[in-house]
Amino acid sequence: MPKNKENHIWLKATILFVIIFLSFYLHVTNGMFDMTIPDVVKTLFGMGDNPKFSLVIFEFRLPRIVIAILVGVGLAIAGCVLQGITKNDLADPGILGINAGAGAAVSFFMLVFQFNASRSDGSEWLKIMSMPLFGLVGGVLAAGIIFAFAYKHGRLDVERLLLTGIAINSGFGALALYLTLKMSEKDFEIAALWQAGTIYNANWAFIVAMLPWLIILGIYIYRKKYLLDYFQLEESTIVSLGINLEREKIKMLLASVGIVSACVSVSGSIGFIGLMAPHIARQIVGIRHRFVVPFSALIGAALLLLSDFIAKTIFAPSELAVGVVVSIIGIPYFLYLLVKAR
Amino acid sequence: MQTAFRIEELTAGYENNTIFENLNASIEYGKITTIIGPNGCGKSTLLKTIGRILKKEHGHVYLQDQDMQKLSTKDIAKRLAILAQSPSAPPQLKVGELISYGRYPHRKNVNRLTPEDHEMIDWAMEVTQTAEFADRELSQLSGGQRQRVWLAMALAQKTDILLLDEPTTYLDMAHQIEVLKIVQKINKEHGCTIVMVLHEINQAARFSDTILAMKAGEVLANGKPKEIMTAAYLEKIFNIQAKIVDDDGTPVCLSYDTI
Repeated sequence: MPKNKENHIWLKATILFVIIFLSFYLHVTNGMFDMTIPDVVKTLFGMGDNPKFSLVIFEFRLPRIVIAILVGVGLAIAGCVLQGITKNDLADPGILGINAGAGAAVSFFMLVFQFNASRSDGSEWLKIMSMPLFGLVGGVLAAGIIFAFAYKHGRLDVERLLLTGIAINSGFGALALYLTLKMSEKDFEIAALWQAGTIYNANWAFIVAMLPWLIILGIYIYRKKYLLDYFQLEESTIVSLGINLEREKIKMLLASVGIVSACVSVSGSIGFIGLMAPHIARQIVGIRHRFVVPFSALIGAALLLLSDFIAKTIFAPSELAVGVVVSIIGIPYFLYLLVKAR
Repeated sequence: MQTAFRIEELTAGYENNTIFENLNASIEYGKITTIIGPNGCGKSTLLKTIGRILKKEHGHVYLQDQDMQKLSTKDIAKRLAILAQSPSAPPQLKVGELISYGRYPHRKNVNRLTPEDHEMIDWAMEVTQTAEFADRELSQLSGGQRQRVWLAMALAQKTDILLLDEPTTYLDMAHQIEVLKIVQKINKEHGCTIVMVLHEINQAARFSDTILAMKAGEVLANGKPKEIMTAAYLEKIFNIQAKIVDDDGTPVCLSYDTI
């Protein structure tokens, strides 16, 4: 008997929570200046008497940590859905061009409204709140184009989906680059950094803007998680069971496009989380999505939080874009999967 | 005669390749009907089209006198189940879990099985003799066991009609008969209408009430095994010269040669 991956679920979940907590601890205590644990705890519970500490924690470190966790969760869940629908372990929101579409739309937004998220202090509420919407439009547009090409004879052809995704990805990437080139030199620098995937300028407004998307669509996907189990069968069996395959695929895809767009609009394009997290989750808990989805979310959060900690500290005082750190971890993992798949 | 399916002017195929055009046929309710015919004659295509796995181009299929076009896919799933030719599932999937998938069309809360669901799953496992490996993973089963598990999943769907696309493919002789005997039991003891595609004409003759013979996208004959299993028909259908003998009322093709 192979060992049952579904054993010790709670232990595994606890270990992940501990990893997230440790990353949180590292993240919150390290930075421009280090803080001791008592300082952090005191400040967190409002008992601190050092205004500099509460500024750093509440205005800089905490929003950044929360965003890293949320974006990690979002990308991981979206990755789960995409891998489930395409039956391809190498599917990732980034590879599918959704990131790039949302990215181009947000670049457009930055250019037209002369608003730069990374420079914002969070006072321009309306603009911040409408940014995920713009991202969503771009993401849906990219997804729409991909579907239009991947849809053939009334069904979604997965191979075409992946191939058009790659084409759309570079197309929108080029568009975003063109748009950023139109910006002033200073804006360009920041926009380019944002596109590489960065969350160092996080603030609470971003969190408020993306949270509803993540909660609503996340719950939707979690409630539909059984569909991802059924999607592991081949299509004729799924249809035989009375599942409206094409419609359910599109609904799930749209939900994940929504989540990815919200993530991209606050953090730029961060690849590979959506690829790695579900894959690691399946290694740990098996193939049933009632476990895979929540574990992916936890792993995504842990991965991004750790990566962001590395991005923040490795070349301190200068920062690396977290997207770059994730790619440095992600590319070898991707290659490993490719080699293993052969 | 009560019909399970009435097929009118049906045209279907793949992409730009029409397999049959304006096909008419009817399939009796409560019986075992086997579709036979040479490779590429459209027998699997017909089965898939009446099971709405393949979209028809035009024409009508009536499921017990109701136009299937007007039924939702979930309602259809409560009335007919299809076992695909070589179904696939993740090798790590548990047998019991896969069989429980068959309950999907009847479930209101998909995340929890009701006592009725359990009852049906147990029944399906009993009929197919798969209960003993309910906790095993699919990868640990032999081909014959796996096919019985898939059959159990289709049974758990608790439909009046079961469509089977070459249910004996890749099985050795003993396991082929084992599967067909289960199919026969499902029909005789539980009144389930069976429509299946088989390659082996002797098995078709032994296990069917009706044989529907196809060739090049057309229905050549539709009748009792005794009427279809004749040298004349087999020559028309398969281009073979066959020697037919009678085995206790069942026609058997003893040997054959190309013409």
